[in-house]
Amino acid sequence: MEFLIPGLRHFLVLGSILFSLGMYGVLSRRNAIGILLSIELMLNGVNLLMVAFARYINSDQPLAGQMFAIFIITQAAAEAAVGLAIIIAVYRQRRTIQVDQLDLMKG
Amino acid sequence: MLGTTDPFTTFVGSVAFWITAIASIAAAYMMVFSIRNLIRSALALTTVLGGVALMYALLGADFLAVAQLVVYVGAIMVLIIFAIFMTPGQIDVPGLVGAGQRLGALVVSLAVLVISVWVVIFTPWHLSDSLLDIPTAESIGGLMLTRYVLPFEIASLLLTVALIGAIVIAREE
Repeated sequence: MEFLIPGLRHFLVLGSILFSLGMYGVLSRRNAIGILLSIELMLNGVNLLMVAFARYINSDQPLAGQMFAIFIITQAAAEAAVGLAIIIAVYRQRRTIQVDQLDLMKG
Repeated sequence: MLGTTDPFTTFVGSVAFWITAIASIAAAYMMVFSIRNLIRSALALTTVLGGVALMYALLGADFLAVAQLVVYVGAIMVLIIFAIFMTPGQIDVPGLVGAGQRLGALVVSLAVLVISVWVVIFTPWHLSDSLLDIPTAESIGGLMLTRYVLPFEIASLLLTVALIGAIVIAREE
C-alpha cells in the first residue's frame, strides 16, 4: 500500500492529468469562453507542478516555485481580463463567439 | 499546527489528498467531456480550482492557497460568469468542433498525458526531506521586495496595462 501515500509523483501526475484535460478542452471547443475556461484548467495544472516541486525538490531557494506560481496567477488574471474584453467586443460586432465563424481575416 | 509536520504521515492527510484529487479530476473530466452548458462548465471549473487550492494547503503553501481562492475562485470565475451573461444566445450552442478534429485533439492530449506521466514516474528526483517554514507569507513578502522585485514591478505594470486595455476594448463606442 506504499503507493497510496501521496508524494511528489502523485502531485505531478495529478497536474499532468489536469493539463491534458485542459488541452483537450482547448482543442475541442468552439465557444471562445469555453476555450478560455480550458486554458485556466491548463494553467492550474502547471501551477500545481510548480508548488509540488517547490515542496519536494532539494534546492537552496525553496520558495522559488511558489513565486513562479504567484506570477502565473497574476498573468492569468490579466489574460482573463483582456481575453474576456476581446470576446465581448467581438460579440458586439458579430453576434457570435464561435471561433470557427470568426474568419474575418481569412483570405 | 498545520504544516509543521508532513500531513501525509497521517491517515487523514492521505485521505484528504485522495478525495480532493478524485473530485478534481472528475470535475475537470465532466467540464471537458460531458457538460455542454457554459455556466455548468464554469461551476465545474470552480470545483477544480477549489480542489487545487486544497492541494496547495496540503503542500504547505498557505499563502498560495488563499491567493488561489481569492484570485481564481473569487475574481476570475466571477469575471468569466459575467462574460457568459454578456454574450446571450451562446450558452447552449453545441460548442464542439467536428468529429475529426475532436479525434485529433484526443490523440494529442493523450500523447501529452502519456509522455508526461512516463517522464514523471521514471525520472529519479532528488527529493528533500526538509519541510518549508510555515507560514510562508512572511518569506514570500520578503522575497517579493528583494530578489523578485523586478518581476513584481513588471507584474504590477502588466496588471495595470491589462485592466486599462480591457476597459478600452470592452467599452461601448
